[in-house]
Amino acid sequence: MFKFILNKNKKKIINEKVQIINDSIKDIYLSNSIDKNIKTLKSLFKDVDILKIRYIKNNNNDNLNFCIAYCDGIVNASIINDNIIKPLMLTEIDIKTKNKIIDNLSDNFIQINQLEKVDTFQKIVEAITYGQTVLFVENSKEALILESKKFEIRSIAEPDSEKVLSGPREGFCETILINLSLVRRRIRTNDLKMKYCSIGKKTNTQVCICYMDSIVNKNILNELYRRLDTIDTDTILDANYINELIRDNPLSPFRTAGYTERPDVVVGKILEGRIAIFVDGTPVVLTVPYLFVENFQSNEDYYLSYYYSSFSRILRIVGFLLTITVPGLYISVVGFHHEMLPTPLLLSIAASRQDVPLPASLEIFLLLLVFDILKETGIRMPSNIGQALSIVGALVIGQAAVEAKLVAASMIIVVSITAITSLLVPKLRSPVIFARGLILLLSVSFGIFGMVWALSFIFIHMLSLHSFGVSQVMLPGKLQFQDIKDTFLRAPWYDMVLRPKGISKDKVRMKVNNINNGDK
Amino acid sequence: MVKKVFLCILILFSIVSLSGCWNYRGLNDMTIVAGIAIDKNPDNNNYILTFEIVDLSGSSSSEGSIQSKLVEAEGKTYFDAARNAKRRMLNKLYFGNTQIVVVSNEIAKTDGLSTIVDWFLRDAEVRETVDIVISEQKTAKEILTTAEGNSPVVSYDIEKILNADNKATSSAIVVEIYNTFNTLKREGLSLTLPMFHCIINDEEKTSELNGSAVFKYDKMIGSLSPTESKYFLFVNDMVEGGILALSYNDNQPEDISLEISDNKTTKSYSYKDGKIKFTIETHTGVFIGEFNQDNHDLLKEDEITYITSRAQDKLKKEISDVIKKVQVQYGSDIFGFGNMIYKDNPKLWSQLKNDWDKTFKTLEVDVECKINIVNTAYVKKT
Repeated sequence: MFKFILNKNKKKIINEKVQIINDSIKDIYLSNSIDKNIKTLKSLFKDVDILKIRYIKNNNNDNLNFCIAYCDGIVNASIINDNIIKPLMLTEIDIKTKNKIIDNLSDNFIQINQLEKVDTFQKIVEAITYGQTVLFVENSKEALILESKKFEIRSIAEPDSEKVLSGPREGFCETILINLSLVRRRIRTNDLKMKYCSIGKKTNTQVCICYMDSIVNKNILNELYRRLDTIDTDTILDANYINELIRDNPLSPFRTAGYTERPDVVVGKILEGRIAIFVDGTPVVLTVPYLFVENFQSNEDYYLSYYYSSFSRILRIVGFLLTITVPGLYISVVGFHHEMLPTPLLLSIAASRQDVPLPASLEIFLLLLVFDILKETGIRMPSNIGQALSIVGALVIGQAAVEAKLVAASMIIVVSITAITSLLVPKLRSPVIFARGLILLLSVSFGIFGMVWALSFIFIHMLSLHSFGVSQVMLPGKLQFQDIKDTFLRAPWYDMVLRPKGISKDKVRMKVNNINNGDK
Repeated sequence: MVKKVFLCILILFSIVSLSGCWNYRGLNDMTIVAGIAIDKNPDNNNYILTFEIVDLSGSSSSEGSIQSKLVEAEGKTYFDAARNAKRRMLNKLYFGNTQIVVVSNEIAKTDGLSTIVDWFLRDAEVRETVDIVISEQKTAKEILTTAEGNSPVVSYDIEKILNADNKATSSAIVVEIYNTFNTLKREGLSLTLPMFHCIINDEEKTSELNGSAVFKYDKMIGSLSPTESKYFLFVNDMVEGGILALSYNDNQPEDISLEISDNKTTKSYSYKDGKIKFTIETHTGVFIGEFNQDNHDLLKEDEITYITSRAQDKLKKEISDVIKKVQVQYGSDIFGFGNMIYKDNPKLWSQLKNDWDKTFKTLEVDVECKINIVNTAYVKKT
């Protein structure tokens, strides 16, 4: 308790310091003299050696002095040479309208597609750090920000985490503009809105809110803006920073926002009335609101035959249920409710448990731990030693442990089923660990009785989950037939006339005469 | 917040104290009992219980298999004997997967079944679906000492023999322990239980299902042979398969087999002038399974009609004979005639109840048999 208060104070002090620095920049305005401005700029960028400053004189008029400043490495040198320095040096610049020289320059001489007039150093600092070039003009209290960005970007490749067999293979990269262009290209209407804001007091990360104006639920949109406004952090490096700062049920392991690295997924969600949150510097895009059933949906479901995708949806749901219940169920049956087992099965399990030193309950905890260790190692280790790991995992732990009678063979089967089914639902990775653990713990103590308690707890928690005011799991009583067409089964496209319930303002996806909006 | 935490702890504690079976018991800490044989020690009137237990010790090596072992225990009462067995065993006996109980005919005849059934129903561990059988041998233990069949555990073999019997031969009635209890407590209905004896088959002693034991109240008073049991099952509408054998002419040996495919029996009664008359109607579908076709052509309708009428006569005679035998010899209403009246007309039953044992012996029963040859499996000579 005491420590907590201390931490809070510390946080407050740091926040205040950051605030002071930010405020100090905000108050600095440009002056008339280039030298003075450059001096200020240099003091702001003290010890930043990649800041380049170059003075330019006009060939025809010696009184015209300019200076450009930019950060090396994130600018396009040929744009600066050809479209900024060249016209400033060589053209005859008319200086009759002396106080409007800056407008004169931007209107007639500078050959840059985007520019902005600024008068504070805060804006200048932001621009220079984002690859733009700043032009100072002698005897002007304003400066011009000229677009000259050029970053090294990763190519558009298929994301490793969301591979598909068929369908589009593009994936997002780390540059927000390219990511937006991938979405823009797919929705060619002015209805698609893209609003920028910048979050993070130090990183000033560009964040873009993207939605369909005619479909989106304005209440959800306003709630999103309100929550984004409350963010008061200095670092945003990935979409998850934002997710954790704005999510509902902050302590729940279940997701309340969708993650994806694929433009086709984002477009699909936007067109269902969801809002996408793009964050510069990461290929991950957030989509809100998030329904529980989205954990089981995959973009490939919509690209393959609806028979096949309905089957795989059911597999995923069964997989989720299996992976959380199988260890608990096994322990309850083996340790408490022996009479539930058919006799031949009881005999073969009992035979395999003969001479095993540990009780089944301890054994399953240890084996599940071993599996999680193997999984984590598989993710973290360099890929070229993967073979060694699989040998150790399969042979040493699987076969040798059974032969040495350290674990029962039936236990290995149970743990493998748990492990394999847990990979069926990658989006539920973290809730699965906790749900499985809770069920196992109560099953070990109280048998099926405890398992029912744990399951009730989990389901009650799931029913209470919300994402931006939309409840993630809807009770069956409230459901209409149209609402479940994209849940356990994936209905054919001609039948999915409505968008998911509760998300969008305009529910009708297609107008089919004989379907009465699905509400009846 | 404190209140909530306190509430959670309270709920967790109540799980421990309120749940029925919460104690953990590892599979390797128990002795699985497959079957029980109940005998009586003639010297001191103690009960001897023989447990067939599953011996898993050989199975832990990869090529070993499950074996069974017999453990005997003696006690003043059944439960006493069962607990006394613990003195010879490492682990407590576990009855959750017990499949059969063999009762010696001596106990069935003198002591009755009530106490045994009561013990099994009271015990929490035993399944209510345990099959109870009567041993025709001197002791019930002999049934469990026979050579093993497919599985190394004799009790499980016997359970399989019992449950598959109805489809193939229809020679015994399978009675689970809860049904035994229900039958014993029911009015106007007597109990029958399957009976086993030992035979020598291929130089090995094997147990064989051999008809059924007839009870009056909870005491055994006689038995029916496998064939008689089949016709008894006809009356009670429990036939699912089996063979009807008959001869083509009266003085010939039996040379026709009819395989029963389905049977539906309806029982009804009429009450007139203080006399009760029961009517039993059977509708049986059969296939011709065996037929000497040298002299007869099954394609002719006459032949079919002839065989049908002979089969109907034969079935009618056999059923009537069994009813007569039970009426005269045993006087025990195993057909449930009294129970029918009890269900249909309780007032009438309360009048007849006290004299039912006498009434049953002289009851007039009319048997009507309808046989339909569904399939002749015609074989053509070329």
